[in-house]
Amino acid sequence: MKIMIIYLCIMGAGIALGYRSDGFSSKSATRSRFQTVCLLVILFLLGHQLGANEEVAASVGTMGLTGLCLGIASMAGSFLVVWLLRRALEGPKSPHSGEEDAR
Amino acid sequence: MMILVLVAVLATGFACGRLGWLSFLAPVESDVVLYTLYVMVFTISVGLGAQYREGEGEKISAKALLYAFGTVAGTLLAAVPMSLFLPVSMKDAVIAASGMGWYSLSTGLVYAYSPSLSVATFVCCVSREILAIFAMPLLIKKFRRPEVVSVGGSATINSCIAAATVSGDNSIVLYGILVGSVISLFVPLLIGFLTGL
Repeated sequence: MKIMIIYLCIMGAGIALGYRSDGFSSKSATRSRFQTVCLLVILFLLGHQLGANEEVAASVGTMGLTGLCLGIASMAGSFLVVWLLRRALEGPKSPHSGEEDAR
Repeated sequence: MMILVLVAVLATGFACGRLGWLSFLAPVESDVVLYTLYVMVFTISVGLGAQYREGEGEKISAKALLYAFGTVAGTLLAAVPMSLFLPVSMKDAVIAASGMGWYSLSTGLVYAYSPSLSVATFVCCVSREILAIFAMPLLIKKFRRPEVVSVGGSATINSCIAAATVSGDNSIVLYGILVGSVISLFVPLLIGFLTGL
């Protein structure tokens, strides 16, 4: 719960700053590069931590397969729920028969 | 291409860890990962705020918002029965699925809770992004944008570009980015909430 509140505060502060200040663009190349560097640092350190942990290294195969199964199930679950929701809201129309779903 | 670089960086880190290289990093790694995640969430939020100021954020309707909620609900609901067949508890299955395809953030968040589950979270997210790139161009021929975009979760940009290339409907890219942004907001909140239970 504490972590959720911390992230909520960080996100709220970031969105408020981006919304209020004209100095920030939504398509900033500098910010994009900075985020890529952060991502590479995080992934390398996570990989290092995982590799150094014997318990994790022993379960990589099992947990990898678990992740793959969950990924496929997540895709199917999201598709099914949104498909049912869209049919309930808009009816069984053919693909691209209307543009109103986007806006 | 980018995803291959990211997997290669993770694999290099893993190999270094297995070989005992760079072990002097160990005492500070968790803190560096945590604070880097904070910085990433902040900069992403700044971009989201700027997007709304520039008018792009207002294009999303209540209906599209509902489809974003549906995507999140579908992901979580699908993870529950999967826990019966997989070597993880129901809570852990839902936590791993809560990444919604956003592997960079969710893997780090889940690591603090369970290192081995963070492996499942990473694979779950990466497989969702990669499979969506192949699935969305096929689905767009038979189904409509809301359900097609839901397949990618928060990681919809690459897969939407692939779907737009096949269908010729470029508006799916903007739609995917907007819905994906809303879904992305749920990722740190859901993982933070679920790991704290």
